[in-house]
Amino acid sequence: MLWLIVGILVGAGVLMAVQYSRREEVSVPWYSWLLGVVAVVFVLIGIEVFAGSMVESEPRAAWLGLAAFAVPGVIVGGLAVWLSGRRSGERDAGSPAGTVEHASA
Amino acid sequence: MATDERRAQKRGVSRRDFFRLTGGTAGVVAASAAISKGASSPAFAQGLDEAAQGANGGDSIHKRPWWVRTVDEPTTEIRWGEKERISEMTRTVRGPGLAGYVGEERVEQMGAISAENKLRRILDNEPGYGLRDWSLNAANGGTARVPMTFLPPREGIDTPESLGVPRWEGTPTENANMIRAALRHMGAATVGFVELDPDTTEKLIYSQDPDGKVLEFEDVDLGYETDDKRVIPLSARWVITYTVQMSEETMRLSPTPIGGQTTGICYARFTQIQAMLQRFLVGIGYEALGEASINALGISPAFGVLAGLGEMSRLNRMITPEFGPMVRVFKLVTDLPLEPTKPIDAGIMRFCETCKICAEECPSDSLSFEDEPFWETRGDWNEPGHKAWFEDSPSCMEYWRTGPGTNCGICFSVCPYAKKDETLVHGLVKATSATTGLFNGFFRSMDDAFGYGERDPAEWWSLDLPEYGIDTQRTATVQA
Repeated sequence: MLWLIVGILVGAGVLMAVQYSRREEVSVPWYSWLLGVVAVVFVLIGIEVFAGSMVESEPRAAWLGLAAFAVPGVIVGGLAVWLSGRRSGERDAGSPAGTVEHASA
Repeated sequence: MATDERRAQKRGVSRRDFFRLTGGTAGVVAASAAISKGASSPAFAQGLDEAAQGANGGDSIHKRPWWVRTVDEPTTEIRWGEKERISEMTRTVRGPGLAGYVGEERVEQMGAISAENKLRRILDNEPGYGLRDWSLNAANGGTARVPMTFLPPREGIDTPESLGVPRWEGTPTENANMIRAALRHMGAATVGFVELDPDTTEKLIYSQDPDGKVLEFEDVDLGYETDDKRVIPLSARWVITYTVQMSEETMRLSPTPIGGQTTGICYARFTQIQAMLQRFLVGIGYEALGEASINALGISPAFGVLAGLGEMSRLNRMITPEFGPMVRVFKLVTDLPLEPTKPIDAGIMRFCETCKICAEECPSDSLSFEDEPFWETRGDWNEPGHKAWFEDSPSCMEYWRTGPGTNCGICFSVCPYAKKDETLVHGLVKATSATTGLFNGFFRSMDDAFGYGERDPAEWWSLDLPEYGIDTQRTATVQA
């Protein structure tokens, strides 16, 4: 059941990220996708270790495991978002699209 | 360093530990990469091949973890020429042998101290040492055992002879799988087979059982027993060796009677399993010579290691890939032809070289701190002829009797291999250790940081544990 819920949440998250990037015309570079996948894998491992360690009645191992895997996952995920945003910012600043947007305003 | 200091150092997670932990995540990823790299090597391919065949025998119905490799020689080096059959009664410290090392007077003193401590702790209602804890310990221990016999029942049981039918005949492989299926159903966890050879494996059969009866081989059709000896027919060439699980959750309460009772219930289950196995073998027309008492007939860890059930360790006991040290090992001699199973290399002995947690936690300093196993024994209680981390058995036994007053088990409970395997990290760590020893020091540090092994004895009575406190699904590929 846990993994069904996690699967639905991850699927919904990926769908929302794809839709957002299309709607906002954010160009996501390949390395951001890669980092995003790595981030998701790390967070999933963190959840797995947390859930498994709780079943083992090892709460300390559970929280440390979550921290050890999920924290790097969140950092890598943040890095992926930041790199995408920076690339989009560079593209907007250097492309004619910025001029069009300015003119229509 | 004193044991208490070591424990105190273990409990806190310093900032340094935490950064090692998070930084270690990269190490785990690197380990995965190492495994992936190893995956392309011929050795790995061979390992997978063996796993596909069942790491323990050509067509084994029981599958081992993929990282358990079968090998021709065990990871314990053996000099068969230096080995000879030993007396369980006089050489080991379990029975009267202890008096030979510490003196009769000291044994009596230990008994008095043990009784005094027990009474005081019951009256003080010390956690893990209360009346109910001792009572459960006693209930699951000696009094719960089915009588153990060397000879199987020859009458009052349907045999091919009494039914007038031919006895069961199968190939050694078919027979091995049949015994595995039967034993698993009777309550055993893992099963292996060793063929007796007069120059090698036969030396692992005791020369004398714990009760003083001599064990001999003779050219007779059936085994027999007299007042002073037990006879194994020369036709009985195969040893069935098997493990029975103990409860990890319960053993974590070592060294208390409530923790020790999982050992007792394991022995009680063994006595029933042995009686069933003997009846089964006689029922299909074969000999079934069992252990006449606990720790009789032969050296259990040695047979277990040769049969590939596990590897020797710093505990100087066998550690299994599936359950760590949380098993007891048993054996039975038969004339049913069985395909021998091969020893394994799962990186366990190599991990022990680095880990040393059992030696650090041992309250009687009985376990060795040497980096590598050695040939020289520490006393007559050790059996020579193989490389091991030999232990100081009399000091261990002295602690049992004058400390908790029951079997200790701390070394078993702190072992990093004693995990329940509910998270894939344990499997990843064991698989990495089986492939390379590079990360063993890091894994040991993380075992400390994660705080495994600590339990409150008072809470045991509130736990909703499974039957016998064990997970019987861990080595099964078919769900119950």
